[in-house]
Amino acid sequence: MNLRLELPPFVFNVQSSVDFVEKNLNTMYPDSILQNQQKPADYYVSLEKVNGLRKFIRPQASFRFDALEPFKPLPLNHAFASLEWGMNYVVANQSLEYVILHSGIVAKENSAVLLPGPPGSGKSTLTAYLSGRDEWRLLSDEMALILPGTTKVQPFVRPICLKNKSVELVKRWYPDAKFSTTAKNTHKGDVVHFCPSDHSWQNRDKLATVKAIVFPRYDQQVDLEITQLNQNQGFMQLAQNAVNLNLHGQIGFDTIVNLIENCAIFEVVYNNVESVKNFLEQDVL
Amino acid sequence: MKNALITHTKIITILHNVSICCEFTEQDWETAIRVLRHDGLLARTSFQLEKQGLVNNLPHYAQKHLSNAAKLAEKQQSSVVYECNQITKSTNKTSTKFYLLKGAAYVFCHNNTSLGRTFGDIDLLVDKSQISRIEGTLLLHGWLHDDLDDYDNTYYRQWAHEIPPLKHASRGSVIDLHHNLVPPVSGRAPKIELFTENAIACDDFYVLRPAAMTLHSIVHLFFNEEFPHGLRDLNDIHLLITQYESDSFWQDIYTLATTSGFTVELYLACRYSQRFFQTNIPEKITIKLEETRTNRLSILFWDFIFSRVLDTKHPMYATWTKSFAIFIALVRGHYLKMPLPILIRHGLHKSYRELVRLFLGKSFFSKEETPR
Repeated sequence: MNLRLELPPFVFNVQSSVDFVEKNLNTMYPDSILQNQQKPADYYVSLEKVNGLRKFIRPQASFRFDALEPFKPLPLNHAFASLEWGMNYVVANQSLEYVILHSGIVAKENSAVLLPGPPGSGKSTLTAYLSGRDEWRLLSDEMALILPGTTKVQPFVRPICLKNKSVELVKRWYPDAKFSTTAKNTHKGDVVHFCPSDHSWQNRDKLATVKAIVFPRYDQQVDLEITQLNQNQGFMQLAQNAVNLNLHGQIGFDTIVNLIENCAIFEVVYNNVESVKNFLEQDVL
Repeated sequence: MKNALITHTKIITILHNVSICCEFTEQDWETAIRVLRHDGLLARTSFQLEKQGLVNNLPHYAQKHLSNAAKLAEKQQSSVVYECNQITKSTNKTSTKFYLLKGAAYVFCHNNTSLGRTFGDIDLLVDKSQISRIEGTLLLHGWLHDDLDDYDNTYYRQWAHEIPPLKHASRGSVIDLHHNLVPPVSGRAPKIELFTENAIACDDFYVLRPAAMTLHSIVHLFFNEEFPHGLRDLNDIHLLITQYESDSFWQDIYTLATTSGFTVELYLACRYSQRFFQTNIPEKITIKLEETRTNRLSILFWDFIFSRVLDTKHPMYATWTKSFAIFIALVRGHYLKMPLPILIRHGLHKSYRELVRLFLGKSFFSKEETPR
């Protein structure tokens, strides 16, 4: 299989002979993206079985960025997840036309909320929930592509990576949605990808403006606790989530400062996603 | 649906006549960018286009990738300058002269070859008598050796022209500390003063004078067994010659090659640089060099190897003769570097280890951690 995926703002050429990778790509990406495009590909990636003895004993698959193999091979069962992560890796390391923040990002119409957080903070779960609500859309669950020197964000709509217990939650919220096969026992736990809403896909080319930065933290004991952060606190936390800040130098720094100066910044501890949504809609946007 | 690839000659042409890019279609660009990125030449192409004011006419797709590559290379170079300054800071009480070699040298003397040149390790040359003192100081300042097994350690210490690489524990920068240009075990190590005399001071470092810098790059490429960046390294030589050429440069490099015993390497460099990039080599020099090489057979042998191993390594342009040439070059390079008895021992040792790794797993030889 050789597919050309036009995933604004990038075009990927994806090659794989692993059958369930192809199946997952067909479930996770809408037809409009899978139709053969004539645009030149920005990045060639592939996911192939490791040859030799490993074809038979505990089979493995390895990700390639063009001819390079940046990671060690992983169990075959992780193939689709590795492909998704590999694509993120390529963008994070190669595309300097954006200041990239490791963060979930969703938008209500064109007003975007950054949701940066460490693994386990519930960032992806919250992103998945918000992205499917009325008038809301997904921009990205992993990387916010900020246009340098502005507060504008380029969507990079892709399947959302859900881990462990959050899979059940999201299935309950969105029973009709499409899910990938499970990659068991990855370094992030059991991982399932979730296909974002049609509305998100339809608007995958439409820029949004970042209006708020919310550092989420899931805590079973706390219904909703909101703390407004000052600019210093916000800056330090946001800079830690910047993927390619060192590559951008001054303009990268200025972009983060500009975001901090133009956004409301909160830390939100929650156990109920709906109350976070209400807070965002009523008090922030 | 395989689209016709842009010819491989066109890709080589970019490296000496960048204006050829102006006629590229988007599809040509797609291939060219993959190949140039793979061979570490995308950033250099970007700077060459910029220098000639050709960037603005290119398709947006090409501009985007060229500018990203240029930014990555600039960042890499600024961190090399930073690391070099850390080295002098750490060793400021020593009066040793540090000579920068290859990539880092190009960057410090801001020559044309430095534009968009990407590289990982910092190659330093110091006087042999100073090596262990400098090594000690660098170790104290966080540049540590990777775990090496006893064989590899002995290999470096007894036979090589450098000590095992030093990697900074937190920043990851790698220093290759040299005391000569080629392994003494080869019997070809030159008197190093021939190369370091008239070195040029750049900040706290020295770089070799143009002829010595060029000849070192030549020796490094042709007196070697592996050519992972063959095309880039040959293009370095083309750019060095093009920038520095003058009567006195050719006089100097020819004399230096003769006294240090590297005329063959100089001959090969001129031959292939001219063949790949139409480098301007004075006829006088070509004739003098040809005189030293009369054996038609060895020229045929070299042409077979070097026209292939110096070519792009992107799998799109892979052929079985290229793989074969790479293998032959590997054997030739080892044979140049080691006397036969040592080479046989080395070969046996390496194949034994590869076999064990194949059957017993990759970590079989990793040193056991001491239990705490």
